[in-house]
Amino acid sequence: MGTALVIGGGPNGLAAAITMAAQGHQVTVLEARSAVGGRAELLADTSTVQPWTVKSLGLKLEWSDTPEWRGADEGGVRPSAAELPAVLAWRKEVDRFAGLIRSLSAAAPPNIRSDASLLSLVGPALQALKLGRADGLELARVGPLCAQDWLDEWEIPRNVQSTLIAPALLGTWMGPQSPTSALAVLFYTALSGQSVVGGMPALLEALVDRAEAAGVAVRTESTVTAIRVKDQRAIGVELSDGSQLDAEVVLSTVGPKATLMRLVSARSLPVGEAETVQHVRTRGVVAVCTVQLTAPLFGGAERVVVAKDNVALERAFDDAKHRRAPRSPCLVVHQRAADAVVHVFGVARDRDDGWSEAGAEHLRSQVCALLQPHGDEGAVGALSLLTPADLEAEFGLDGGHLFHGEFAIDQFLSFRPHPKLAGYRTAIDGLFLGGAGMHPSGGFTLAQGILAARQV
Amino acid sequence: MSKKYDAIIVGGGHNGLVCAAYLAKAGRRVLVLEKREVLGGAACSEEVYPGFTYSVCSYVVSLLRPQIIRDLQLPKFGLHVLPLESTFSPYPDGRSLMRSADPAATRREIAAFSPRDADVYPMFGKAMGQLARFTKPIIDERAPNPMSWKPRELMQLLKMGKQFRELGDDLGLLQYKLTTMSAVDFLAEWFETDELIAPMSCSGIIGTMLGVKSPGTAYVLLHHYMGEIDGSSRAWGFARGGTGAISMAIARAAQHFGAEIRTNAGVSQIKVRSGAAQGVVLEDGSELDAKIVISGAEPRLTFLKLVGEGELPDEFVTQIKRYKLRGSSGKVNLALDRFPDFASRPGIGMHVRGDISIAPSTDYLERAYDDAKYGDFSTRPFMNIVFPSVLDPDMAPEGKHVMSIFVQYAPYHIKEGPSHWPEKREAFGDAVIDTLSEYCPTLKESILHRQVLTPWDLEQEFGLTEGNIFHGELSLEQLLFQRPASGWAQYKTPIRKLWLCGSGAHPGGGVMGAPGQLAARDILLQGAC
Repeated sequence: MGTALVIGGGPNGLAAAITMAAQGHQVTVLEARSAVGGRAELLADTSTVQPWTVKSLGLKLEWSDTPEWRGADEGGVRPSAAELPAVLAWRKEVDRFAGLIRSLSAAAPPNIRSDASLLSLVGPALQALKLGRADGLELARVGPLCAQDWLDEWEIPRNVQSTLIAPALLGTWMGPQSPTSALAVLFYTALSGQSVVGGMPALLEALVDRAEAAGVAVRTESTVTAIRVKDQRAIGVELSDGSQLDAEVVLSTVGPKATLMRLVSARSLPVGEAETVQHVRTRGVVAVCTVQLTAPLFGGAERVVVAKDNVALERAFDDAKHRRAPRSPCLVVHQRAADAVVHVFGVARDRDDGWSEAGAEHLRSQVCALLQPHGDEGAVGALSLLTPADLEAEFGLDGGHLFHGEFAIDQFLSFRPHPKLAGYRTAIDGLFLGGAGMHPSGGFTLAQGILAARQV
Repeated sequence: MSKKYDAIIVGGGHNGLVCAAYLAKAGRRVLVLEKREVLGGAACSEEVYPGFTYSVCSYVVSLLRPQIIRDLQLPKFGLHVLPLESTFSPYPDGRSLMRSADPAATRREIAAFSPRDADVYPMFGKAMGQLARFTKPIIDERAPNPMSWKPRELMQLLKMGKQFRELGDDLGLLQYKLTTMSAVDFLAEWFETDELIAPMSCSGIIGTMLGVKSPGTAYVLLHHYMGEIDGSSRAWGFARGGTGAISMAIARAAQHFGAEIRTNAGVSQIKVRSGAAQGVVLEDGSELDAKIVISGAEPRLTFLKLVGEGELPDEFVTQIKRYKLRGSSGKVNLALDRFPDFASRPGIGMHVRGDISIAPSTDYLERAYDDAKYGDFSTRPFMNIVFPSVLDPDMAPEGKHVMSIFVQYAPYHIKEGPSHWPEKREAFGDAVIDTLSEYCPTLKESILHRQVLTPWDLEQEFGLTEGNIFHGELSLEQLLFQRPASGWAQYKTPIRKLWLCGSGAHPGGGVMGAPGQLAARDILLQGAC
């Protein structure tokens, strides 16, 4: 066992480091920012964290039931729809597929390329058989649908639909009327379960503690500028201060594009290899806001979708699609004790008119205006906002996309981010990918870093 | 008591006629019942304005299966297909792009926008040609039934799997992408010029209520590489005499083989007794019996109107109610006093001897779709235009022209409700003419007659439920073994002795004739009549 470098000190980076340390590697995590945490700062939803990951890492965490999503608009917070018979019936339907989806998320995706051993297909095939052929066919029918059509079939009112759909759209480049958005909603909902007590901060703290206990070295303010490659083998990294580090294994948890197109020089890659990631679609549609609160909003509801109905979500997506200034963004809000993490849906990474300070300021005021009516005067305090462009620059998120890449039928499972890379390995020996841009997708699972480390 | 007919076919559209011709050729006594006076369903030609023949609805032909043309000897019965020679796209800034069968000319045209794309274009065509060869057997065979353990079904699935494997990794992946991606995303992996991507992408949305950036729209691109006319692949064509001439040729073939065809004979009900079809009731109240009934009508119309919910299993009724139709297009046919020049390329050249796309940018196409999503027709629509009179002078008096304009989006479900379409019909027609006038400045003053067909009209006049020109969306979950319903994709229905042969069955819409042919094949194979 030798030395391993992990690029990125986010949840996946720490998880990969812990896993490799347990395998006997001497691991150093390199984080560009002044503190570890990475995307943990940008996300608040721990309901999709897969319990097996916590067990595998040996984290000591408590779980508790996740509060239901509530809808809100200018008319106030809508009553919880969780008990609605139509929603209950739909949840039951999701539960039928949850076993398969969760088991797919607990392992590397089946290798579908023809040099693959057919054995890798056995596990999922058995799960699929458990479903039965009729259910399997139903899955094939539902997957391509748009979320709205699917929930319409269950006769769920459209303004309730938007609260069920919006959280899943954050990982996509879709609106409720985009075909295959049903699959995104199915995956997100099937992956959701209990949440971590203490939320993302507690999870991060546990990861840091565990990493420390496992002997992982963490270096902050260490920006990797290049992955050094010799004879098609990763031999280490170069940092922004010009220093070089040697390692036998480099595991990158920044985006696949950032890793293979920016950190690895084109000369080191085999012919055609750069093209494999070039076309991965990573169009960010979400800005992230952190809001200080002096008093609770939304009557204290913890998880709130601010969208009147599906039309509001669709129009928000239209703004992102047309790369224009957001006119009517929708919000996905996680409210905590003294602050809230707000995901602003419908914000393009590549605005035709570009992002400017004025543009970001305008968006801040839009978010403020959407939040203020839901609390006492003065409840909304300081509000910091990161546009998708900021997310890309500061957090290394490919395309400013919160999940390093869009969830799509051609970019999930064995296709994420590309069939040649789906096994966490790259064309360069000793270089692995273990960030959010890898399988599994559909929500924040904490699985990628672990699954990638297992390939080492 | 022996019945007079072995089979009654509901609807004299091209698929019904193909099915009739095959059954008659096999010696069966067949009766085709068509509601309208004109045969062909949506594949018809009519002289709506004296001296001018319109291909009223469907206006180009590409996928009409060569085997059908041979088996039914269609050229002998009057089928003559004139190849469309080019695809032309004018842009608002005065530039234009013409792609034709001449590779060198096409290369020059594309190179004016992007030399890189000019290089890639033939490579793209080659890759798509390879995929088309893989896909073609799928539309020439009935859909497999993954629910069945029968050897014939398993063999077919295995064969498809083997063919897919034989594509190899790269083409296999390309095929997967093609089936799942949006047309624009798919093309953007190859090309950099939006002016090229936009007109290419719009073949993916024709007839669907989706945008060029909606996942799943890339697949139809392939149809452009599957067309075969007179043995040469990749060509779209126009039938001499209009699309109705195709239906008429098939009808004459069917009659030649002994089929009986009645027009003005609308079916109001399919008679069912003890779960089996007995015959039909006509709109005039008369009844006709047959060993089997075959419906060329769209599935929802067939099952919910002609059969009735009460005769069907609940689960099946749910499936059929879910079946998405959602017509999204309209048609404008013009009789013109003279040829309306395109400002960007005047004259009657090669560029107007093919189809013309008004699709100046992918954003333009998405905006057109946005209008439809919120229940309006597109104020600036996507249009696909053909001048039949340029290819076939008999379509209009000398020196005069007919112009066939396919328009999208015209959603059936407008926000006022579909029955309000008649009030919006002329405004819709105006939006089309106004938009086109930006490209053809002299268009307005040359119009002698204008026929505007909204999706509401397509439903009322041609039985195209919700105005869907393909008898149901060609979306992923409504193709192959799921068309029109999971478990019922092999032309059989839950009603014994009732079969489907229209575009709502595999492999779907377009003037292919495949559903009619494949239905007839299965009916004969299974000795159903």
